[in-house]
Amino acid sequence: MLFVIEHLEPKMSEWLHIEYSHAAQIVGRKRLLITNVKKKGEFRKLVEIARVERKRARELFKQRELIVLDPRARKKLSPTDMRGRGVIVVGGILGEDPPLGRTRELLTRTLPRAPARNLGKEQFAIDGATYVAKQVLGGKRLEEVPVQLGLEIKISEIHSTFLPYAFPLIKGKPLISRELVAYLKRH
Amino acid sequence: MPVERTFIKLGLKRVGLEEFLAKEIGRAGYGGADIRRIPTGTRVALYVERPGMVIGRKGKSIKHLTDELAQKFGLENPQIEVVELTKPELCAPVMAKRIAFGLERGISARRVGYTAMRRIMNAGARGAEVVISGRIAGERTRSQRFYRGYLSKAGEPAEKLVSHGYAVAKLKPGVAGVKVLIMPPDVPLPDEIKIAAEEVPKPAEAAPATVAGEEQAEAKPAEGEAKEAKTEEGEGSGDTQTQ
Repeated sequence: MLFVIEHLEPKMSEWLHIEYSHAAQIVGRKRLLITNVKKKGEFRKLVEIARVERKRARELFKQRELIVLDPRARKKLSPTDMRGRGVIVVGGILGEDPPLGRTRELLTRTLPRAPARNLGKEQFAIDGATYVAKQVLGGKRLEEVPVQLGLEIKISEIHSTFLPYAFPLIKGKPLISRELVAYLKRH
Repeated sequence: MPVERTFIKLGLKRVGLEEFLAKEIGRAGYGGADIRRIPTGTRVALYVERPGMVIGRKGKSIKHLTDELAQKFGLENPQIEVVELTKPELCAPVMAKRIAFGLERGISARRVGYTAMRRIMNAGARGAEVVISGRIAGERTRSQRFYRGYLSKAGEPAEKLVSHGYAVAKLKPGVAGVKVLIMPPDVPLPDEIKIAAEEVPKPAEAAPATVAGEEQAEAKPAEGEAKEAKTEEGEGSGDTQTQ
């Protein structure tokens, strides 16, 4: 099983790098491929955390091998979806609230013959989506993966940051990288 | 026309009027309006930071505004009263606009939020909340929340006692929303009960009464003594008479 993150943001920010890095930690460095990395600086940075390709997923794989994760897809991801397929594609997009449907525009439409699946109604972060997909493809049903909606990170006594996304729960605690928490406290 | 539609129409008219005023006199630091029907027409009180900008040279701007209110919104004989905000830091719409302006100038959301909170609390507010949400630093959408003091969030106090403000900051990565809630210092909360002090008679009136009573009390035995003396005398005299 190969997880592909198609880099779709025009600029690679620190936040995006942290999420990619956390996704690599979740699935393993060898099982994560980041595609569509055109800029040299970004390529050099990402090579340290995962396998990287300049080309897009549609140029690297046959579409019948792929499954695309898209919040606007009609069907939910199920453990049986990967029969005969070996690659799952996640959009490398920093989302909006409410979602603008950029995954559909930038990713799903470029892969018309690959089936698209969603992870429920809520929007996940890139690392969170990778974790949920891994759990589902490992045999769990989507409903069996516990999820928390929204996460508030306290920065000081009077200041906090609220992330309006879905976070998978592990032993009752939301999945978020320590680097991201530190980054949010810093910026 | 059903009654509900009439109320919806009135509500829409009020919202339209609020939007118009915010757009028209936003530069003067518009902080809200109070519109009331009076026997001679409609009284429109405008709360602004800089009244001079609303009035204009020789009252030109205010005349123009009066005409527009009458023509566009059909207000009957509008009488505009411009009220200066003595403490604009306690007015949520003004603060929301200031925060949005700060964000548009490129100041970081954290710095703007902390500064606004400090100003609001230094002006004497009981409590305040500032929420800045959107693609603030060009990354993922998130909400930065600053909160301090006591603030009613539900019920009648939240609706009537808390000042609400909302503004939009147009940034390069997208639009950011600014929401401000302020609880002013002198609002009477329904759960704050003051027990009136028991009325004590004034010392200026009570003092002569007690003195007079004492004098009477002191005077009474003197009279009694006199009576006793009289009786003794009487008895003595009686004795003498009998003798």
